[in-house]
Amino acid sequence: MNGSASALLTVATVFASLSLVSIGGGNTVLPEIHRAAVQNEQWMTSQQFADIYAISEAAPGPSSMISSLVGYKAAGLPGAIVAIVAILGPSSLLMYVACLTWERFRTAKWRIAFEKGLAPVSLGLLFSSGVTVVRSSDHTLVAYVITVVAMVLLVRTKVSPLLVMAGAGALGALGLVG
Amino acid sequence: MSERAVAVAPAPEVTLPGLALCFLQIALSSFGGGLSAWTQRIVVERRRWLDNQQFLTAVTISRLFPGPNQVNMAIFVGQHFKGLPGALAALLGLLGVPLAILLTLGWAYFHFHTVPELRATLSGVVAAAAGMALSMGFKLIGGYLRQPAALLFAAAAFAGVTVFGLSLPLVVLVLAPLAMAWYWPRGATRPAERVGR
Repeated sequence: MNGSASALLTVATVFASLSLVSIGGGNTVLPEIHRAAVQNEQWMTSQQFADIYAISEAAPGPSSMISSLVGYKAAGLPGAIVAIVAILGPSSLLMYVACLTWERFRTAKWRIAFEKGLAPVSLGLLFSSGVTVVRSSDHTLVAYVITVVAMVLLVRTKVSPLLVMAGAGALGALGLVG
Repeated sequence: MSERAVAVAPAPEVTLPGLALCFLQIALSSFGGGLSAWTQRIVVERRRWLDNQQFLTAVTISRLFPGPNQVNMAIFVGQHFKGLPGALAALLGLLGVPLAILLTLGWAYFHFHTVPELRATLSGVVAAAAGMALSMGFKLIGGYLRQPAALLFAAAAFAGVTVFGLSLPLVVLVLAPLAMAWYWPRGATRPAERVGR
C-alpha cells in the first residue's frame, strides 16, 4: 500500500503545483499535464492521453476535468479525487477570497467604475474567445458553415441550443464534418 | 445617465439547492464546450440572477484569476448570493455529476481500450459550440450600440487579443484603467474616505 500512498502524493503534488499557474482557463496547463503524465511519471502513453482528452471534451463539465482521469489512471478512484481537489483547490480558494474583497467594496466609486468600464472591454474579449474557439475547433469548410449557421440560429431565433448541438453532432456522426 | 440604477424585474429568490441545480444544468448542457454561453443563457436570460453588465464583469474576473473560468464563475455567483455555502453549492452542482460521468467513461476506456465513436460526432458538436460562443457576443452587444466609447473599448480589446496576439492580462491591464477613468461616477457625493487597493 506504500506504493499507492506515494502515488497519491505524486498526483497531489503534480496537480497542486499547476493550480495557481492555470491563468486564462484550465486548458493553458494542458501541455504541463501531458508532460507530467506521459514523460515524467509515465502514467500513460501519449495516445491514451489524446484519447482521454477527447473523452473529457465530449463529457459535460469544465474541460480541466481531464485531471481526474489522469489521477484515476495513476492511482485509481482516490487518485481521481485527489487530482481534482489538487488542481481546483488553491485557485478556488484564491477566487473566493477575491470575491469577498469584491463584495466589501460594493459602493466604492472605483468598483462602480470598474464594473461599468470592464463590461465593454469584456465584450470585446468575448468575441476574441469566440474566434479562438472557432480557430481551434473548425478545420473544414463544413465545420465553418455549421458554426455560422449555429451562430445565426442562436442569435436570431429561440431554438434550443441543445437541438442545434444535436443536429451538428448528427452531421458529425455521419462523417460529414471530417 | 451614469447614475441610472438599473432596476430590472425583481430578482428571483436564490437558494442553496437553486444554486447547485443551476450549475448542474449549466454543466449538463455543455456537451462539447460552450460553458460561458450557457452560463449567460441560464443565469442571465432565464433566471435573471445577474444583469448583462454584472455577467460581463464576472466573466472577466473569472478569466483573470487562475483556475478554470467556469469554476471561478460558479464561485463568484455562489459567493455573491450565499457566501461560502453558496460557493460550495455552486461548485458541487457544476462538478459532481460531470465527474461521475467522466470517471465512468474513463473507467470504460481504460478497461476496454477503445474510444467510443466520439471523435466524428464531437467534430460536429464543437463546430456548433463555437457558433454558440460567438452568438453570446452578438447578443450582448445590443445594449452598447448607441455608446461609441463602449464600442471603442470593445473593439480595442478584441483587436489587442485577436489581431495583435497580446495576452489577456496585458490587454485588461492597459484598457481597464482607461475604461474606468471614462466611466468614473461623476458628481453625487465625494467619497467619504479613500478606498485602498
